Amino acid sequence: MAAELGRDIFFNGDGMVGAFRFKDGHVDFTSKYVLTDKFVAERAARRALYGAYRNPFTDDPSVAGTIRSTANTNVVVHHGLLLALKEDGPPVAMRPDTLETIGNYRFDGKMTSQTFTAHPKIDPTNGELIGFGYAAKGVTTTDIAYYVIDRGGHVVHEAWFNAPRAAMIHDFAVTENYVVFPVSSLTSDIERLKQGEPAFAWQPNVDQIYGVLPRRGSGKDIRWFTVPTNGFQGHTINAWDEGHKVYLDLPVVNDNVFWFFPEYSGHVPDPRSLRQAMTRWTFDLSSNSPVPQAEIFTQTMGEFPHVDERYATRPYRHAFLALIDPFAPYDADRCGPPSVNAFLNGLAHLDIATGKSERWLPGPTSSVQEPVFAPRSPNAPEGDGYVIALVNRLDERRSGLVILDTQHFADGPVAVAHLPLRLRNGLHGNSVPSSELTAPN
Amino acid sequence: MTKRFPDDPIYHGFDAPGRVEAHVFDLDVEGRIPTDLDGTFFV
Repeated sequence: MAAELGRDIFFNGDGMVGAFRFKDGHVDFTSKYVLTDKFVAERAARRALYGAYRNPFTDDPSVAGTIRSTANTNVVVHHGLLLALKEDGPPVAMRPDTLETIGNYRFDGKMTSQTFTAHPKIDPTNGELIGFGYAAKGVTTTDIAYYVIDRGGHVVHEAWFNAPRAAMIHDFAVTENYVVFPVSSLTSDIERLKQGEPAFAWQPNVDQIYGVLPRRGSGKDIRWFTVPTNGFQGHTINAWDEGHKVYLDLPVVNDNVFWFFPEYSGHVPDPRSLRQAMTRWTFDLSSNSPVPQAEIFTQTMGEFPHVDERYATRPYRHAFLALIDPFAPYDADRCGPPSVNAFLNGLAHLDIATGKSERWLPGPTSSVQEPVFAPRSPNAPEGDGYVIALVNRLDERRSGLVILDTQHFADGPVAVAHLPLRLRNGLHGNSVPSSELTAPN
Repeated sequence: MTKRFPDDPIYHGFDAPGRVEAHVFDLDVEGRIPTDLDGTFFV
């Protein structure tokens, strides 16, 4: 639905979920809109009722106080449900087999936070879903609600605490014994919302902040670490702990990536000045220092990471990324001006132990979306299997789905499924084996 | 009257509004889908 305000940002589109189902060497595709409260109300009205991104003060009075989620950021499967996620609202439950929307979902009504992250983690050893909500008591509040949900969908642990600033916390990290909350430098302020300013603003001269909490800790156990160099925290690759040390791998960019959330002055950095560093933070809980140690563990640049999910929250060796290769050619004559994610121009299989990566580039008329990994078999070694990703054929305005075998990744896809349609740039997804797709409870 | 999507780069080219719900049975495949791939890619 076109925005009532005349303009909008990429992150505010209504969520549509796609499912590529693989069986016996064939693949079928289905897509459906998530029937959020917003989507249903606007369809009935035949016009947009919700205004600017994350700004309820711009909404039509008829929808005041309702859930604004577009459910457009990520989809995860847990206890038989497909959860469509957006960090400003509760999950929206769907049926994994039909993509029919069930409705807003609060884990038996036990999740009282107004929000739930789009990046919860699943512990592969016990099936726990670990998540949180920030702005948990409403837009611009500093309240964080943290939840552990068992494999049956029951909330088994909850903790509330306050962030040091009202800021976006898009992703987080989980290890066997700890969780880490990267608090971004993109802050929110209710007065600015009332004035119709963007929902977030980049603060140029602040510390990076990371909060470390024991996995079953209470709010008073949160320990804040600070890094005196500002940075834009990207998506978590993985994290693990060993003794008193917690390790977190993620890309950090030197300045504001989100041009649609400028500084108060209106300033946004020249994209060519942005530098990404794949950073391993070590949080030493036996030390009194508030500053974590940093190590750059690879020169590979990329985003939208996935690991072999059997190794999530534990020591790992393999990661898969949408590659950012600043030197790869782009055919502007055939493709026009770069689309939203055109800088994601390849796929990478990263060896965490060596920092080296294998790469595949789809060529100067294509970009990629987030790659996921499917193991060759339940007992295959870590990273042995298939990488699956959407490729945007920018010149043809059509999509392809590529499947690469990690045994010969750099040779390119072993299969390309041609879609007779265009799936515009989305955000995140997950590969789920059939054995985990049981009927909803 | 139906409101049009604004003339903004976020709706241009490949990012033009999609809006189509689809079901495509047995996608056209170049190469070979591994037979040990048994599951769903949700996106």
